[in-house]
Amino acid sequence: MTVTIDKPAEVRAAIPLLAAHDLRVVFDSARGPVHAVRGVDLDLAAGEMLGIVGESGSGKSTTALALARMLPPAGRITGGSVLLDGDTDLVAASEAALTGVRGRRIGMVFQDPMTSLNPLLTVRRQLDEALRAHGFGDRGARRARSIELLELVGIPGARLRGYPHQFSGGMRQRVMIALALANRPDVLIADEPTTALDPTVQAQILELLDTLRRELGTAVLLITHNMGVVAERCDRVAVMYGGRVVEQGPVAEVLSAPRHPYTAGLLRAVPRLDTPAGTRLAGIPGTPPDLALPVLGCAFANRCTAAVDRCRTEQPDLAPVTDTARTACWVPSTEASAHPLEPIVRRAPDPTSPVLEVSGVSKTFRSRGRPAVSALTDVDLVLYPGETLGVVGESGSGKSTLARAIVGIHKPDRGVIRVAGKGRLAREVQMVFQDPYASLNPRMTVGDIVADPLHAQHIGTPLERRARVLELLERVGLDPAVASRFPRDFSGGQRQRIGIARALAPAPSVLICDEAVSALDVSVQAQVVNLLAELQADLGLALLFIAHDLAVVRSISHRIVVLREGRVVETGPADDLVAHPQDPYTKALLAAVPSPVPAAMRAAEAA
Amino acid sequence: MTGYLLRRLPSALLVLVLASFAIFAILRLIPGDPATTLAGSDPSPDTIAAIRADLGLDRPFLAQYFSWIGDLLSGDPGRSYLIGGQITDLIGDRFGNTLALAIGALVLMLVLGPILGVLCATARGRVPRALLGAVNSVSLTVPVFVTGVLLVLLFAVTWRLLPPGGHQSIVADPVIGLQYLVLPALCLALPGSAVIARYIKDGVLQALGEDYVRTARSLGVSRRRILWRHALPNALPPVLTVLGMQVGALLGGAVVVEALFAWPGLGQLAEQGVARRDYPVVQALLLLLVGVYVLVQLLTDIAYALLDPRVRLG
Amino acid sequence: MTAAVVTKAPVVAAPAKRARNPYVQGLLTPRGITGLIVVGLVVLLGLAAPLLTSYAPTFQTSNALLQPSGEHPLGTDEIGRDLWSRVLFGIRTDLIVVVSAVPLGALAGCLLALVSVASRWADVLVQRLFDVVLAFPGLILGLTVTAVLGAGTSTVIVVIAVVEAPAFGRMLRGAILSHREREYALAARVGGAGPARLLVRHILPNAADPLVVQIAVSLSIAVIVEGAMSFIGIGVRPPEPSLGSIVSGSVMHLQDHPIYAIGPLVAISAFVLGLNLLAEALNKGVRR
Repeated sequence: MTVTIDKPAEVRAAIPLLAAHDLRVVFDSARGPVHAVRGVDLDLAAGEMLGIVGESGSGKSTTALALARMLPPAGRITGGSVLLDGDTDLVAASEAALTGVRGRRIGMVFQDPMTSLNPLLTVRRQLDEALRAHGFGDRGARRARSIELLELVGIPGARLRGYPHQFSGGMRQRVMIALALANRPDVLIADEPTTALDPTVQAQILELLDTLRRELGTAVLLITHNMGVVAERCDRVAVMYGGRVVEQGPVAEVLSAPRHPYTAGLLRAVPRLDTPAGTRLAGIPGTPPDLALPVLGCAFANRCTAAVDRCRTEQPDLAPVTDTARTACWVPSTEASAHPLEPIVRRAPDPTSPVLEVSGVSKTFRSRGRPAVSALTDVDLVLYPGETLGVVGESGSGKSTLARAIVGIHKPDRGVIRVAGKGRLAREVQMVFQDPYASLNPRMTVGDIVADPLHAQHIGTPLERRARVLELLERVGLDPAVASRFPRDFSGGQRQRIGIARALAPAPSVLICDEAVSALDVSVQAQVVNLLAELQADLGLALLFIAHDLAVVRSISHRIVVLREGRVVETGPADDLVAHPQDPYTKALLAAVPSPVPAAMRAAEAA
Repeated sequence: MTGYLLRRLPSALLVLVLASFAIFAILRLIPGDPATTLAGSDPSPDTIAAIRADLGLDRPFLAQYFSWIGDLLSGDPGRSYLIGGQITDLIGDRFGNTLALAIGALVLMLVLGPILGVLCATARGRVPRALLGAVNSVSLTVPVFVTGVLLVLLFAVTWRLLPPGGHQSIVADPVIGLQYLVLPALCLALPGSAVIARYIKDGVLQALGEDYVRTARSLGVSRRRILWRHALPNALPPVLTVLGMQVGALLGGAVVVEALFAWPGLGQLAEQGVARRDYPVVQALLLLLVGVYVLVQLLTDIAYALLDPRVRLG
Repeated sequence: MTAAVVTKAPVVAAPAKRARNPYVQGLLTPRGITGLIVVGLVVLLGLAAPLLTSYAPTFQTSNALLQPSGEHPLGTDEIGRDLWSRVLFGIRTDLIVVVSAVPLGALAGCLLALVSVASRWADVLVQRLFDVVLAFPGLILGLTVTAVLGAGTSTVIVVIAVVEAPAFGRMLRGAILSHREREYALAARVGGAGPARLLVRHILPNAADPLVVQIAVSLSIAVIVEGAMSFIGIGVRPPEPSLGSIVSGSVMHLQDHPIYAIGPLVAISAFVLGLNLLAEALNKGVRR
């Protein structure tokens, strides 16, 4: 059923292209209903780019899917409306009407380009199908249009006959964009379109989206967790938390003078490339709400330093704070809150004798039926006691192989890895892994996990081990009582803390963090980075901090090494390397990092 | 594609060679001198010696093996002692009969399986879904000799529609021949059909949850087209693999079905050969069956590669 | 400073969710409970066979092919044996075969899997061995083994064990290889765990789930293989009762005495379907 409401022409002009009102979505889960979206108001005007920003669990992706009624079977819209052109309510529309809208009026681009294309069909067939679905011309016309579309997104038309697996991630995302734009939709919903891509590719895809939007006049709804992306690309932004929009307004206004404490906290937590090395990141304490439980009052209240009693009992609605911006807060801040940069207390590294020395290390992976891959070629690096060495690189740079070679998982083909100190490698070097969900044995209690290296290396008596576990848990900011729990009871950030405690158990002199904070939301990421920095200062650890995010790496490192395709391209003190990059690749990496400061504000700061 | 074949072919050959060796070696493990067994009751020493020489039992083990393989490759698997006659003659007719049964079953399997699978995957509502699921589970698990007896009880004893057993040549009289073929073929086809149906159902349901189906939906592609163009083709490659395995089950099941329906095929011959320990017959038969099975699996692997560009193009 | 306080403050975990064993969770579904009841009933009938009948399964009365009566609930067979008692003792035979064969096959398969993940050379050998065994379609393998060992209960046990071993072996090998590369296993290695500790403490507890499901599947396949072998006369030797051979005996009398077939058919079907329900229920529980 299509609900049509007649409106006079002058009213129509002011009507947003797409408007959601009080949109609500519930997911069925084993733990009961999860209220993923709890009353979202949004509007998108023709030709604009609106960013929806939030951390995982904020409901931003669910909102994006719900707008086109694309929810997975477990999810359903329980209330509200989504008006297209101000008169067609998509929530009430028939499936047939929706099929006409999808692709033709609203196109979508999804996060993972590796799985979003059908592996069995050529790109030509998939484009052809998209065009055919909306009755575009005959075979020949569709073929011509397909070539045109590919070239529009920067792919040679000759690659029309290729299969998805023959394209790189970035190229696949371009194909995805070509598909979404095939029938010239008025709205493009892009759900984290660059999250799965490397920084440099990410920048290219965003640039493409921006160009196409200007050329074709398509309105774009960009869902992202990255404040920098919003700052650089969007006209307006809606910040989501706990299934609701908490703040909405023009990008320059919201990012420079956030009214909602969550927006302000999020902005503080984002590592910035322009802050000097050794600056403490500001995390937001606590964890996001559990939407399977009823939320009373403001969802952010329990993490908010400004919360008053009313925040805990009554839910605030979006209300205007200026002519253009709205916020949902009982105690909105009235002025831009400058936040002072606070240095981490750091020890100076001791450059007399290195604790870890990697010289001339090469590693090639061979597997049957595939060309050999050189993961590392002649890599040299040194790490001194008390030093943090940042290692930066994109996927395929060999950074994980390097970490694994140092801890002895991979055996290098050539070269030497020397660790100072005597005894077993496992006593001197420990590692924190990337994936907080995969790196803890699900069948062991937290206490057993942390004590595992002690058991494995026969360190201490059972009583001493137990005491050490409790001490370590407290040291990483966990309640020692959690020792008897299993990993499934913990959030991502808490799991990373457990992983850190395990790594610290044998009192190593070197700690390797392989993308240890990449999987975490910024507010939690900041907590964990700060913890690592503190631990390093307190224990005099040498830290090898591997990440793809230059801004995080700069904030914690003394020196930075840039890796590309298995080779070291540049090494230098953190601030120098970021301020005066020498290698073109380092420059490209730096240029690709979007800054969370809107361009207008940067200009003002510079002045 | 050629590269894929070059990688796949040697392993199939290796399995075949190892299997032939295993068959040959295992049958030498039979307690007692096979010549004594083969010579029948109360043989004279001369007879035994003659059989020993004829079988080459007086030669070294490996020499025996290679001469056996050599004979087989030149088309002469030797002769049977206990059943009597040349093995090629024994196998000849029965091979055709078993082939007819197997092809009949395969056709039924390829018709029933996909229909049931697609119905299971697309059924809406609790009751139809539960019913289809039950039909599938029952055909999947109940053994061939049980369904066979039930089919006979229904179609031959109660309704008297079809003969309860026996065999008539399809070539001589297609109508009568088919009447005799239907029950054994159906009984042989049921478990395989259910396996195929289950793989198709699971595959389609899984594919419907994949990101590329979401992409197709977001482009306004209709439900029907998503099912037939996206979900089903992506569900098929694993079905092919399992189909190859089902052909093996078919060969094994044929032994039971032939016994149940008095169908004069290879299964019966194998059963007789084993019962009488006529091991030249058993050897030749086993190698034939294993060879067919390995060939079928190779073919399904090739078909898989043809269906999936990721395997074909590497 | 607030931020410093934040990282120091103990973070408390979410309230513990009810941690129930995934197997129990799977079995306590309608499917699982039905399976438990059906299998339980069949097993009980088999175990209590001597208490539930007054006839020995091989005792020949003077009345052949009797219709069911209070004296003979399922009637008698062609040589006057009580079918009720033959079916009950047939279940018993089945239980003995299945319960000894499946663990034997599982053990052999798992040991071979452990050998094969331990060394590259052993792996090549073991994989080829599995390939060869799998190149024989189930019953054909049964025929081959019977040709060597002769028909009998112990042959059936060997056949089932040989048929099942590759399934367990491949499954465990695959699970170990995949779990060995997961981050938690790498973390254990970095923590200094040797191969033995890694396997026993970390990998096996996580890799065992599919094996439990496979045991239920294998039990039902074993019932089918035993039945099929006895049916074609290469299984349990007469006059020893077995469900397969009772069905086989009934085939000659389907026209004149169809009731003969009912008992063994119901028993086999119930047993196999029940085991399969259990396998499905366990699978759901594990995947959850």
